[in-house]
Amino acid sequence: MQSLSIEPLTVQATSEPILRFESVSKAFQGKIVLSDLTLEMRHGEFLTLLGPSGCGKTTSLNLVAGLIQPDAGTIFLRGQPANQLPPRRRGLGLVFQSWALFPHLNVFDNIAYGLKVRSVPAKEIDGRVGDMLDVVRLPGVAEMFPSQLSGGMQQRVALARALVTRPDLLLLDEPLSNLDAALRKEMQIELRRIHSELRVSTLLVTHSQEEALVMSDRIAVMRSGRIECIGTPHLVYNRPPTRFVCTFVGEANILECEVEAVAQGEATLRRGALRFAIEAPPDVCVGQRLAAAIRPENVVMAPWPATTEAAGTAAVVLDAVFKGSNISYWVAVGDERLHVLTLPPLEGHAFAPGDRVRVTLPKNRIILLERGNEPHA
Amino acid sequence: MSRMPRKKLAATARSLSGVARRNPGLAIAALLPVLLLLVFFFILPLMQLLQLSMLARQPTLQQPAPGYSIANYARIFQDSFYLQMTATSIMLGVCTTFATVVIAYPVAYYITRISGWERTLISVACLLPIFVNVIVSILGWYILLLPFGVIQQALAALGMVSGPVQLLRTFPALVAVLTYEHLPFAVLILVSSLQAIPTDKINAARLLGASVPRIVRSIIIPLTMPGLVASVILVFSLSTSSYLAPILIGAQRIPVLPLSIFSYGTELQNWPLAAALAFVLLVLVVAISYAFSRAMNRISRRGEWEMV
Repeated sequence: MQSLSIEPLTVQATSEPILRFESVSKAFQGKIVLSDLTLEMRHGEFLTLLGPSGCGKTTSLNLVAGLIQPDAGTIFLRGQPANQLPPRRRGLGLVFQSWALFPHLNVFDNIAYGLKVRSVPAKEIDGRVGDMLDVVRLPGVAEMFPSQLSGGMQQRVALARALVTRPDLLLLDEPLSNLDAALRKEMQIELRRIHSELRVSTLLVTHSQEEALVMSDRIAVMRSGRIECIGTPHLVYNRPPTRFVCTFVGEANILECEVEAVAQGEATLRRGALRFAIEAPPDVCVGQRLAAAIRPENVVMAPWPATTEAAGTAAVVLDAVFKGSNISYWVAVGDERLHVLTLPPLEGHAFAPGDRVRVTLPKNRIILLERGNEPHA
Repeated sequence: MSRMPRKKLAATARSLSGVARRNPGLAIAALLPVLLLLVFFFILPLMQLLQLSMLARQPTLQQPAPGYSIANYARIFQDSFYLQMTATSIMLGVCTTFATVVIAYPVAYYITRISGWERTLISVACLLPIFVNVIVSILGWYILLLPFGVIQQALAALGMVSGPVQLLRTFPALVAVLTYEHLPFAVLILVSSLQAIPTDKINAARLLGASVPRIVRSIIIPLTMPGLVASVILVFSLSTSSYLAPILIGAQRIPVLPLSIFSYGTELQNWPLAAALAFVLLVLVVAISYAFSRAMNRISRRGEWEMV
């Protein structure tokens, strides 16, 4: 890893979060976009607001930037209420979805803009812009205009411009959505690297679960102006509390089940022909209806009846799609259809449509979903 | 403007230019109507005007073809009366253009930042003067500016003046009327120019710590430079060559070239001198407009960058 001449920001030893939403609400023309949002972001953290369009994530970001004002509630920046603070006094870095580069200024002047505004001496500007071009790995383009650069390079310039003023909070508004898939993957790693090198607290807004999982320390999944779930990528992916989070972050088989038996801390759930065991949740009773989910890659599939072990349920392969690194199957268990994802077998053939298989749902991979707050679609 | 339509437009333009390259005959055929119009109604009359300005004296029945000389031009450039008149004309154009842009730019900016009925109201108010006959609107100003007219009465009622005030037949009054007359054109051009700046770019500058004056100076004005140049050239050429406002508001107190051209052409029956004066005016307006646009393009480095 290259050495950096830009000093990382000293993380303040205070317990005060760098950013805090306290019961923040916002409506546009009577339509509620954010309702009673409360959120804390720690110093140095990479926090992602993830959600579908219209969930309020970009509104939240604009509120932090001061581009719009909350209708109710308070936003605290570095422990200070910031509702009345104009954007130019907030000391933030922001990368827009469109990157918003100044087309009439060359790369150097684009990056130097925030420094010139602050009347930094010309000599120091030269040094800091040069260092920043190294950080975003864009040497030798200082004299070029944005229109002469590729999308990925423009994106890096936008990032350099946002970081050169050494903000302690960086806001990223879907910064990768205008890039092609390969470049997007590369920039995800780049953003992650720059975050750990400069240790700048970063708030990312995105609708891409992949971006969120790859880059974040914590993910806040938003829906309809509320935070539905917040936690580490592991937690959000492996233990999503609701059906929405479960299906928005990754794929899942959702199974509406009935409790068939409870014994010795284990409950048996039934869904048509499919039977599987889970750790019994507290106060569960026979006959109760539960929503369970399992990720396609966690379903275990084996040939039938190669071994005589009784575990597993008989199933028939309906469809098999070879995707290179993995194979995606649709299998039928009675009337139930399951999506299963497996690695290509090390030896022998993959299953073909019509093959009889047995499927097992491992106990510790079953996700129990909360009921009640799902919309009646 | 969104991304897609602009791309489509560019693609259409590219394919059209491709057609023109493959088939030059088609390109000439497409341009022919405009070319013919320009040749017959602009270039030929202009050549005739030039020829007329070189005649030694007015053609008469007895002497229909007098010889050629540059005496008319020599007379204009040697007589301080004409030089003074030329300077006044240019000064009038410069002052009017300056006043128009200074008023039109903030109005245009404001129009792009509002919406709904407010926008409709202000836009209509800005454009309404176009639909009023020029003479009618100038005579309206005449009534305002008259001694003991509306403006003087208002000032007197406020106790700011006593006795008659000279407003009519003054240079500032003429500038005011010409500014009023040309404001709508400048606003129209500047609105479309300002509208093309994405809000993101202004917000980016705000977040980088720039104050409003700084954003205007470093982002908004450079990005609207083409529109600014277009409106400056339009207002400058229209106001410098304006005849009606000078004759009605300034009259002989503020002699400008168009008044003189008219009087030599009709009253004094000296067409060659009128033509020479007209040519001097034309060349000056074109030269100043060209120099201004070149200078602004150099400052904004136009042509080196494209909008992203």
